[in-house]
Amino acid sequence: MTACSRRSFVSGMGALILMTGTTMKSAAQSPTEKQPIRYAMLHDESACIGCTACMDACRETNQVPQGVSRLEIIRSKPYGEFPDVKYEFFRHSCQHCTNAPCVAVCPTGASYIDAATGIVDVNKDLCVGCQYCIAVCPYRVRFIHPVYKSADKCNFCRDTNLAKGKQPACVEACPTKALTFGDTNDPHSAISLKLKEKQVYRTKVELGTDPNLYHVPARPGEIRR
Amino acid sequence: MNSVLKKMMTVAAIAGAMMLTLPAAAQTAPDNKLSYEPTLENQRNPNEYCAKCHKLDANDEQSGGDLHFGKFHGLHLSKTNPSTGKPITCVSCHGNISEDHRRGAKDVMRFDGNIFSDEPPMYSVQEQNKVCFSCHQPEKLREKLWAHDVHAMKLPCASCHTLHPEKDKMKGIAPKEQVKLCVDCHGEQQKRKAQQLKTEDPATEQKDKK
Repeated sequence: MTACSRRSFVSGMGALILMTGTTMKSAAQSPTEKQPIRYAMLHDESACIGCTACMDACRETNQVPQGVSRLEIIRSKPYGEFPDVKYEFFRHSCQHCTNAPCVAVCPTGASYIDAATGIVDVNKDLCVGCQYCIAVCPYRVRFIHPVYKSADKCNFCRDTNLAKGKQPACVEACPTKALTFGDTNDPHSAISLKLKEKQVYRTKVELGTDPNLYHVPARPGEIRR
Repeated sequence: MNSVLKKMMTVAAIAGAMMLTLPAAAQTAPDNKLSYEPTLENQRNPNEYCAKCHKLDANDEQSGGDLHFGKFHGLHLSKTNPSTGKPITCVSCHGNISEDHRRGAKDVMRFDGNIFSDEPPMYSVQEQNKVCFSCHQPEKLREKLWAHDVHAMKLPCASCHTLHPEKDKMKGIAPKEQVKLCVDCHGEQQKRKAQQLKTEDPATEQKDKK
């Protein structure tokens, strides 16, 4: 018998592959490697009063023309009998999906995920207005900007407030602090702490888009969809 | 030619006569119906006694005071109560008033909209708003603005609405101004809540910052 039989070679290679596989994985998990920023937002529906100050602030900061909007607060029907009537409010805006279908379908590369922040944005110089992204977005948050004729949507104020080192306009405008914005890859950020502390939900997760807009339900019990 | 002209003249004359008689017939119709509204010549003006001190019209000497001096402008006095059909008077809303109300007795309904005042109001929100809701129907209020529903018995109507205004400052308000109202009031609430937390337990404030 030779020292390197076929049997020992195969088992040896298998062990080697196994070993290298695990070592590479453990290296990736090491805390020394700094993860990039992964911005996300949390809308606390139990704190939201539906005043729509966020909508006005967004329109003003990002110069969104009348008739279209990057952010909408959808008011539910009234629940309960007078004088104890309640409404629920839902934030309808870009979810900044980690697996964004709008980016996947874009034929020109205008729609992209910013690697440094995880923000899904549109390069309006590259956009040809084909509207594939509008059709594919399961959250129906995209529109054609009436001035630039390009696809547009919330970008967490990336080019306006964030560039100036401020929080997004909607977060700053909220009188009840119902909106929290921050880096979910930083375990000590305000949003990471809130995501741990509160019961939250995301919409349409079953589609595999991995959205980054979290909601705190307005009340206990099953979430109304 | 002549006969044609004559015919035309007669047609015109008939038409003219009809034009004259038609409105006359219409005018005579209501005269046939007898109507009689009983009126008391010396009927007491129910607001007169109040108006002796609380002037109904702006008055240089008295306007600007706390007690409605020169502030009665609103529509209330010109409307009728929908449940009784009778005209609205001071006592319809302000209730049973005795002489002691001048010394601050709790008999006259006092509407106080300042929810951030340090002094507790004489009448609770429920007591104040019950008066308004006796005429103003919740369904109608909801049609006007959904926010009526959520504030119904939690906030005095007088917090947003002026009760004897020349023009209610909430009427025809721009959408942006409306949002500002929400933001100002709820923002103030949040500020006070945070301050209270700070004074009660300084540790929680630090936890929030983290």
